[in-house]
Amino acid sequence: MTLKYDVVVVGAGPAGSSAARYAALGGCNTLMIEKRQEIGSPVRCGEGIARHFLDDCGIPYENKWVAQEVKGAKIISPAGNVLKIDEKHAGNEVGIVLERDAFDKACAKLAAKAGSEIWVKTTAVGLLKDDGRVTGVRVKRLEEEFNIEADCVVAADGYESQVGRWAGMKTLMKAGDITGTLQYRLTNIEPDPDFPHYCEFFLGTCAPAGYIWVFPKDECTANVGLGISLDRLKNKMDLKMYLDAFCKKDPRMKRAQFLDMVTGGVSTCPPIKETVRDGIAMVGDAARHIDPITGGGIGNGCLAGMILGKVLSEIKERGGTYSKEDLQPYEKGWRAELEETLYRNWMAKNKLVTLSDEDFDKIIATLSTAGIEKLSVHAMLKVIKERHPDLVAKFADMI
Amino acid sequence: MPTELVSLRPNVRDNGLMAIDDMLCMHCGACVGTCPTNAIFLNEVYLTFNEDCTQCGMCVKVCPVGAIDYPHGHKLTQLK
Repeated sequence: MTLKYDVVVVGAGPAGSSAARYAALGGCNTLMIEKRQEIGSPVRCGEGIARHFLDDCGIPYENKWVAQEVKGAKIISPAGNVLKIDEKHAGNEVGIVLERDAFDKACAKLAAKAGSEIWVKTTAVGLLKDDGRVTGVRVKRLEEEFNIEADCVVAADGYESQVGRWAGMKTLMKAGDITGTLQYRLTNIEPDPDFPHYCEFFLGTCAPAGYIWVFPKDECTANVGLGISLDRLKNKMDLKMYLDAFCKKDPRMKRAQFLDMVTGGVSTCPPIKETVRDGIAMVGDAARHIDPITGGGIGNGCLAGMILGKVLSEIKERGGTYSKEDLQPYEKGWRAELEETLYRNWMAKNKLVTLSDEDFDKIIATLSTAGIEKLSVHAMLKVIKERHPDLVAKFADMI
Repeated sequence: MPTELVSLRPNVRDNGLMAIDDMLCMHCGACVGTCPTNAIFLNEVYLTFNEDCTQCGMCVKVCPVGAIDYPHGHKLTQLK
């Protein structure tokens, strides 16, 4: 049995759904496949997203995927110094705390409404190639294994992406650019004047070369998780040890109980060299579109997916061949939107991981009294330069 | 009265390259994306290592639930 589509999207996360939606809207005969039996589940995410991404990507607001809307972010240094930032200026992870399983389904619905076919429990097991050009995917759907021909395959298969690797694209990362994450969804959390109105970020040695987040889901429930750079993990289960130590220390979590446990890997690498080849494009986590400082990727994935979908429709419209050259507008498009920020934040991350607890205490204390408008790396560095020239020596080349 | 354990569910698969504890694995894919030689295969039910594995140990450290260990007899193994 052989099937033929214009576009086959592998992976039904927000990035894949966004690509499928805009490709289908532009008239591409589109199929999206998902290996799991249910789109959006199990959740593998901290679930924070900035509001503006929804408008940017044309995703209509729906109450059913909003768990909590927050006023902003609280960044907490090891000694307890607090920097509060308004939601508008707090980066790409703060604004709405999602019900991610419902959000992914809503994104898939938009793709279906646009005309895309969706199959679940369908795993891509290989790529079809003809003279170096990708011509389709081999899939396993329930007990059947068969080929699907496609003019363009979209690799939206997440952090563990295989499809891109099969096509020969280099998505490997160094240990310092990989973050292991573990998250508990805890309930019965004690009230606190600011809970559940802020997304909290704890810096310092509580999570070496990473941070601990507390994202509120409702008045007594929160996603409490941490990410630690792989090169700082010495033994197996180190992640759990750090997170358990944090939960034990936080007085609000004395009687907290588990609702869920989430694990995963996050890339914190610089933008990769190529995301398109003849007949294939990568998007989202697979293309390492994750912000290297925050580890947030939902918004970037949706945005890149939208750009890709529109490019695919344009190619269809003018009867192009989906070759590497045809797909260049996507490569250029996402780079114009994201590359500079990703690269800058990766550079900043590499500096931040060298700071000590005392450095963080000083920086947060300084920033909280300076009343900075926007949590941009540049704005922060300027303030620090004025007050602590010694600290900023490490960042001198970035200002 | 000493308590006797009468049944034990075997849950560690050890293929000589790496050992996987299927009762701990959450199928999150953190190890798959991390593996520098692409030696890990994951589907919904299980995780396997193939001969490309170099036992570098990146997956052991990145696994958030400690489901991966070196094989039995390896000098770094924590398996009993």
